[in-house]
Amino acid sequence: MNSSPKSLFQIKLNNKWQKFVHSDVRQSTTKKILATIAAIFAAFVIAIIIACTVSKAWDKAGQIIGTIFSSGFQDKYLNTLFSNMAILVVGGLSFIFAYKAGLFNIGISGQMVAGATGATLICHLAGLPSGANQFIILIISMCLGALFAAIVGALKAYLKINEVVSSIMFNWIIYFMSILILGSAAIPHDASNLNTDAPVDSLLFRMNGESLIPLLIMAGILIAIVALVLNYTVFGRKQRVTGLSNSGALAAGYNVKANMIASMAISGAIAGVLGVMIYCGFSPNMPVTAAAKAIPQDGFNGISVGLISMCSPLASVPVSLFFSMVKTSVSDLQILNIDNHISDVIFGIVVYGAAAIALFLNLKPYWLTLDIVRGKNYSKIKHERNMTNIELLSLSTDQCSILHKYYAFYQKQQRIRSTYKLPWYIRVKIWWANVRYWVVTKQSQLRIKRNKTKDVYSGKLYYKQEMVHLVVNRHEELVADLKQEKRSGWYVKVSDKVLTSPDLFKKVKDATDFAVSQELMKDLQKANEEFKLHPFSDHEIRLVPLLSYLQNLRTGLTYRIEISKQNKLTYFALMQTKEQAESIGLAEIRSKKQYEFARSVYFKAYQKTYDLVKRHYDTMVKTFGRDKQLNILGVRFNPAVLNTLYMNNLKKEISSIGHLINCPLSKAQLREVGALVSETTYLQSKIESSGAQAISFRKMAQPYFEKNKKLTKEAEEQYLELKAKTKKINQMVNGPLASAQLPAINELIQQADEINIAITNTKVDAADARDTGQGYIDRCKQLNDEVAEATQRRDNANRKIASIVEKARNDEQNIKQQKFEAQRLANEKAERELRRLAERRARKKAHNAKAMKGGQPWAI
Amino acid sequence: MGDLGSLLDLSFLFTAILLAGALSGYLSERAGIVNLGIDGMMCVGALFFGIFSSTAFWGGVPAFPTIIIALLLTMICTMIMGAMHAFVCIHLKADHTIAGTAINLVGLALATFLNPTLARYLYPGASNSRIMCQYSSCLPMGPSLFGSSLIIFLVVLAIAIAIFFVVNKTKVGLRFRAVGENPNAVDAQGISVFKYQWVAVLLSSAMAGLAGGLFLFKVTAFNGDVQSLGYLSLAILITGGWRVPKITIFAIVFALFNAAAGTTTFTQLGIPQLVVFAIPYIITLIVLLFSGRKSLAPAHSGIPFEKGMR
Repeated sequence: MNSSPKSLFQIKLNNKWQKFVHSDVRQSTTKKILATIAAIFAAFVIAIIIACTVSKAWDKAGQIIGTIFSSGFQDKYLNTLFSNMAILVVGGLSFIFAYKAGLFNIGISGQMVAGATGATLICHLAGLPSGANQFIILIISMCLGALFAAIVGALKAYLKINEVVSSIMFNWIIYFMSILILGSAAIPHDASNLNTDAPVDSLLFRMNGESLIPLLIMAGILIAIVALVLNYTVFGRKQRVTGLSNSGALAAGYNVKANMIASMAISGAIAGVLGVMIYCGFSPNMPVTAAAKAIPQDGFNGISVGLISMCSPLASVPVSLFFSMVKTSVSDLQILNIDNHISDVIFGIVVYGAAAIALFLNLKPYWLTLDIVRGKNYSKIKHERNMTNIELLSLSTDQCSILHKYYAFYQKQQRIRSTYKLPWYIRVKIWWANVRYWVVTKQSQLRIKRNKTKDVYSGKLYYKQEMVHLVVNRHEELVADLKQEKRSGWYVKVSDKVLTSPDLFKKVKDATDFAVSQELMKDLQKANEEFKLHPFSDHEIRLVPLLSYLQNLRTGLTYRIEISKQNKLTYFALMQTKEQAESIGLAEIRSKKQYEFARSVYFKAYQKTYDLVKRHYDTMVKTFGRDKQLNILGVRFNPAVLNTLYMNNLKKEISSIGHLINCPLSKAQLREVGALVSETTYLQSKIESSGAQAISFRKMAQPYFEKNKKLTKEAEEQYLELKAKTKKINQMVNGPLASAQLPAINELIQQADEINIAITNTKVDAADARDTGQGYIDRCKQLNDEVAEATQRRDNANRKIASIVEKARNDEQNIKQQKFEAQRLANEKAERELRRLAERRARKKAHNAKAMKGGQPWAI
Repeated sequence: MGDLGSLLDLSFLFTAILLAGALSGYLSERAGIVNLGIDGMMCVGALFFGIFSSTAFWGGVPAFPTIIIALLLTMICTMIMGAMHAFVCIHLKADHTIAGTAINLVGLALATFLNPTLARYLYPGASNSRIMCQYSSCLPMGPSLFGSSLIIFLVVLAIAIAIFFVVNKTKVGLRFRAVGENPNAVDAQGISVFKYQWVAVLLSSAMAGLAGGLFLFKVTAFNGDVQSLGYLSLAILITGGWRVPKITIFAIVFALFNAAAGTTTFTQLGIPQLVVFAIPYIITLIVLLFSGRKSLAPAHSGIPFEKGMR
């Protein structure tokens, strides 16, 4: 049998729709508040619909709602509003107190009438002074209410009579009797107004705008008392226990019968207060007539308030404010041609909502809240998310909207495809391609052809282009975001797995290809199954991705491994290696050479991983055995085992360095040394490479210096030539000048200028050559410095290793010495013991011999 | 004789109303659903009967045989209230008392709210803005012993006898009772408990609707409430110890009291009218006092049925 009982309604809802609508969480306070508000809202809406249809005032619907919410707050109705609220609250409290003890006090009206009638009668007959009798009335009324309620409680406790039935009976009896008594008592007071007379009118605080504050004070005090008693006193807690489980209270040793009677009596007392409040504080008379045969509704209103506020004394305040708003707006609604019983209709439907609160409690309107919190497009994105089962974290609303656009485009294309038929010849083409694909062989070339023909004519091509465009854009955006937020990476969560940015980008890039993206989506959908092993769609096989296990070996996590057959394992290894190798080698192939290289890498990786997987499988079988019954190998790797495996690995690595073989290192030291060794190897490689680079730079600098020398020499020669030319010109200018010589001079001057320019050029070239040479030399120096630093670090590391090793050896020696010492000490002790034993034996022997001589062989 | 005749006539009608109401409570409570909302359902039934008995509905003064159709329609329409009660009690597993209180409030409020509007719509020319029974012309409620109220009484009595035989002597009826006593045992037999409970509550509401319809014969103008006859029939159900013969007897007794309160019979003896009104309730309380320990009620009434519980 099902352990958690579900109603038929829930069971029928148990489909996809239920996931969105139904939730089993019932205990949260916010949920209760929301359910209450929803119930009230629904009732309100239904009542408004009824009112509008009945009075044919659909055009006035807004006006009606406005009147209900606003008319109570007008100055003339303010008193009525709040005194109504106080009365409703007190009625609700009366109900709540009994209900918390598991008693449904439907007789609040009767108790109220009884209290008010008795109080009126006694005060009327006694003629008490007007100052004192207010409290006397209150006390008498409370006592009478409590009396009748206590009778009901006693009937329930001792005779097991249902309190609902008996209190309904009492309601009517009290009602008829009080009319009778009031009528006969009022005869001397005012004979003409028999039934509607209330002699206390002149005695207690008057209503009519004067006794609002006393009413509110009384209500406030009662709220405080009820809330405190029910929540913070032993008495109240006992009441609640009695209400929750009668047998539980009995087992706890409470006096259940006394509790029942007490809670009922208190409820009745509050009802008595209610009676005083209504008939002496609110309305000046008691409108009860024999002909009407209608018990005053205030008690039932109290039940409504108590039920809809989920029996919380504090919650009853806003609920009753709402109710009193409805109640006081009635007189304004009559102007709008709506019957004044609309408030009763609303109350009734609200109580029905309280009965059907389970419906509202199990509602899960989270799509609404999410839309409000996360932004407009979230619900649209949600569809996509459901499709791909990806939970997109760390995405802003803008990003969401971009993703949505991208999805919408695809959907549009789909719609176009579905609505518009392709032309017949293209359909024939596709059909023929299909036939060839299915009938002949499932060749990849054919598939590609078929897909291409489809794509071109169905708009998928645009989609692809758009996808590429969007992915590029998206990448840039995300990078910018990362820079802005100063983060190192971003991630996406696929169920339990977390994909980091590089992995994901690969996937996103793959997703630009349509076919791949479909597969990716399927993959992500199946990612719920924790391990992605689709080739075996066998439900019993859940293999761990061993490669990831190998990668995680160093982190020391625990895994649960379940393996059924070896051949499947090997097949799995093969697939994994294939994937890995492809990701290594075949990602970006450009030339034939590269392709060959990739092939070699592929085969190497395949061999390596296959060996690893096989070895680990063997070790697992050896160490943990096989569960024959289930034909499943259940393995649980604990961190210790993983650690030892890791340590063995490390030892192997370290032992490749000659002088560290068979070095006695502890685990921590091993780890440290391992890190240092890897650092030294790295540094060594760096030293070698940068040293070689430095030498090459120096070599490269030499020709530039030679060039510089050559150029400077040239420049000097040119300068000499220029000097000669200038001399000549000077001579010619200083001597007697003939007109015929002028052109010759001009020519010379021109030549001199050219030479000048050439000199400057060569100088510049020389400087350039020198600078570049100098640059190379600088790089060389820099590299040398780096080499020096690296060597220093390497030496340091080596020294550290040496020190650790030395320390370890010393420790070992110390341990050895200590062991030796301990051995020595133990030997000495043992010798001493042996000696002592020998002495004792000798003594015994002597003693025995002595005894034998004395004729007492039994004395030892 | 005229005084006695009118008294008997009134008490026959009252018996019919109260018996129908009590049978309504009996039917639902035998299937484990407490129906506190008889009063509210009766109000709605009266409202519906006002509609179906009107000249506006039949397009003229209704002939006598149409009364059967009108009552049947009333019963069917009142099943809406029963469906509301059943849905909340059976499927949402609400407290039956809360649901019954809600039904009472809703029924009373709807009846009082819709009453003047409907009356205005049904009787366009009339000055009276209350629903009334328009069969009174062809079904006279005369001050005679053999008036039409005797026929009504006999019909309701026949219904009661039929219910008695069906519930106590047939397979369906015994199953029906078993649902109220131990639904899990019934469920274990492979019988749908929910189905029986639904049928029970719907029939119960139909009976309440019948009672409400008959109530309209009694009053000249429907006020919106049924003068607490629903509560009185609940009292009859309890006093009768959930057994049909006893219920019938107490219905007759209570009806006599109620009818006598309207006449001057008791006031002539010096007993005030209000005391007479209260007497049925006092009788109920006394009967409860003596029979409360025996617990004659169906064992599983008022407890929501859950499949998972043993």
